Amino acid sequence: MRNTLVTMIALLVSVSFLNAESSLSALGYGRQFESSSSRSAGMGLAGMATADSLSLDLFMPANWAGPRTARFGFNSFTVRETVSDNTGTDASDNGGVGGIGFVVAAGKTAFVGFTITPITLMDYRWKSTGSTPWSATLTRRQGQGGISQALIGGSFQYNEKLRLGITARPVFGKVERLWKLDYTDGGGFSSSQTYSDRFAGFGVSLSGRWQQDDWSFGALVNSPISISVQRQLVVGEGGQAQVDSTYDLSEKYDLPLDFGVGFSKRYLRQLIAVDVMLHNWGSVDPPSIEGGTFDNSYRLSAGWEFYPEYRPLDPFWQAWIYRAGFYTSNNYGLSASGHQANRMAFTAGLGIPYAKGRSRLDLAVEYGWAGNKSDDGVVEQMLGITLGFNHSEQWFVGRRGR
Amino acid sequence: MAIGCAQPEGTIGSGVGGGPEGLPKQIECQAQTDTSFKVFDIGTGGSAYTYIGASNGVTSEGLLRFNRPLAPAGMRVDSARIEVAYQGGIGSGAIPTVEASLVYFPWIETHPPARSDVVGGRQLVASESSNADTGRYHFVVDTAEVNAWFKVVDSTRADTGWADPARPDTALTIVLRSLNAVDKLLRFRSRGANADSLRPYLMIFATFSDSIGSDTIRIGAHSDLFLAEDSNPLPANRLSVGGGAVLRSALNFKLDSLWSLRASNYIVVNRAVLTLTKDRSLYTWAPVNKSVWPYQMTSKRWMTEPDSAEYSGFVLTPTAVDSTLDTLQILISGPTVHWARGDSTNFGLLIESAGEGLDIERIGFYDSSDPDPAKRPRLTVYYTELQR
Repeated sequence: MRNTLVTMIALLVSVSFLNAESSLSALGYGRQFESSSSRSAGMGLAGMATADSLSLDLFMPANWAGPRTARFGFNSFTVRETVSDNTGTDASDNGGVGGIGFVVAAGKTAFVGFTITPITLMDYRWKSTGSTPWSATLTRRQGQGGISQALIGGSFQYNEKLRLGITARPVFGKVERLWKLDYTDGGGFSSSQTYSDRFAGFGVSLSGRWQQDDWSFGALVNSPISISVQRQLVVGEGGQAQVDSTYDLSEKYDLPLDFGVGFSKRYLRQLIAVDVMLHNWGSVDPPSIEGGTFDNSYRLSAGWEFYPEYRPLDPFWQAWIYRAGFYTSNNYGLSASGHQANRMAFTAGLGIPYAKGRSRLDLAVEYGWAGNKSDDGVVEQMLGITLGFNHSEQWFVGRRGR
Repeated sequence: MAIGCAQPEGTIGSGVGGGPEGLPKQIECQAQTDTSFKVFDIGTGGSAYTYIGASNGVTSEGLLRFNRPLAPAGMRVDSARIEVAYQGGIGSGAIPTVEASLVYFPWIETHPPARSDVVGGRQLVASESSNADTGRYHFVVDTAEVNAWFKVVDSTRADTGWADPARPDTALTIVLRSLNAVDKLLRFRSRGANADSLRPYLMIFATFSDSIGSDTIRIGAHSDLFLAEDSNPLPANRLSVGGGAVLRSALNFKLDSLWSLRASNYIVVNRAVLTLTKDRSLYTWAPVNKSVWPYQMTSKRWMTEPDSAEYSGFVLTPTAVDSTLDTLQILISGPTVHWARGDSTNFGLLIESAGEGLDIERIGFYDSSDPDPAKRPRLTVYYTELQR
């Protein structure tokens, strides 16, 4: 237990909160983030029907129900993004927290807990130069932040085959967007405008997983959410704030209905999983003060996992778990030409159990690309590493229950 | 590509991302009020030049002040003379006769005497003069006068102070006048001349009892200025800026049309430029090639009391006048930003010559009554419109 805590603290401290940069993240509220665990990150994000005794699914509470243990999950990611547009190529290294969660057994078949995960990530930064008759100009556009969700509730075993999850789903977050025009020859005062939006909304998440022998099926529904937005507006003039005002936007932002299904099949120490996730962004009216156009988006994931047979005297690497997968998705925010940028990625993963199988480090590598120059004006390539930690203990369970 | 992702053409993100976006614009404002006024009828100042004579309604005379130096005991003045040089002048008349007189009264450059106070004096004899366009004048100073000037230095070489009650000042003041000048203002070099040989000097040729032979003492002018009087009326429908008689111009621009935009948008002022169009025909005799000082006024006094020498305001960026251009552009960004923010009231602008008190050069501009709108003063404000 002591080693476990040390590992947890070390992981938390080592995560850098740098800003990811993606041109496509400027669309809508930010790029959708859908990694439910570091395990699924190695399996092409497939994870709706892949519950195991150790992983804590951060997106799907039905997967919380399982062995009567307390489980802790943590997920971080680091990405190198290479962005090419018609002005050249730029690379950035970024990272962040992919989620955190804690679940405990509450009775014989019920579990309660919470998870916190990002659902959108925004991080873009542009500079463009221009000129006036009296000065060269430098225009900056930047955006950072995103929307996160918390799942707070429980999961229970309805019968031997069916497990259900019901949670409240508050969403919250903050996005800062900056536009700034500098006159670089020093002949004029700069202009800038910053929106700092804080989001708050509430919805529910329902999920279920049905298991029959080696087959497992999962489904997830997230209710639409109406988000109230508190905006801090700062208008800058020559480096001084001309306006600094905080107020509630009269218009609410909306998050769409999410619906996903998945299945998995175990076969000879292998697991194959497929997920389909749909986001009903097409029914969401983009905020009129923001502009933009939304359309329905999807994600199709497929993953494979191999877990070798392990005997007590085998070397430790004999217990490692290997994963691979891919996914394809499209962006809910349409580019200026009305196009939904596609994203595709291949993943590979490794699970390293330790502490007599009560803990596991999960490492995943993802290589993907998104967008195209003709439709989206930009092509992005991503090389990402996801590092996660899952731990299981028989906390809060009496000896009788063990 | 600079830092981050350069903005691609076709606006990825800039329209679809929905972030803030400003729109640079500009607006031109006509002057609501403008005027010129004489602050003084008499212009004074120490400068590179001292003006002597009369031309184009301006008459002027010059003052040179020599402080008494310590001199060795036993010094006897054999002869003395004032040397002054001039360089050109204003007006097409002939080079006039220049008179030099010795007077005694206290004055300093920062508090110059009234012209009426500088009367009479002991006229000096011109020993040498040149009528060339660049020439020199020598005036003989009475030897006894100079000896008397030095006599109070006792044998210990300690200055005992001026003891002659008939002389209220320890300095020698030379008044340079021209009584017969017709359309000619000579520009005499002052102590500010860049060449040592061009500056005014009091040359004293003396014999010393405690040394062998004689020697020359050269005393440079301690102060100099001119006293100019301008009898010209201010030109109508023009804005004048310059020296001699101090001419200043004030303008006020009504910016309501700009501020009204704030009802629907945020307005950020990026730059404001005052453009004045020169009327080159106005002061052909005294063109200016130097600089003007714009002031942001902090009271309405210039409108209610335009002749007042006192006004409240603070100077903005001095602006050089480019003689090759037909317009003068003055950066007024700072005041316009403050007016826009509402943290200072728009009391207008005042333009004065940077050479005010130093020269009599002038510059004229078309004012807001000119029938050609392109020649009127205008304030161009470059601003950014941001969505509320």
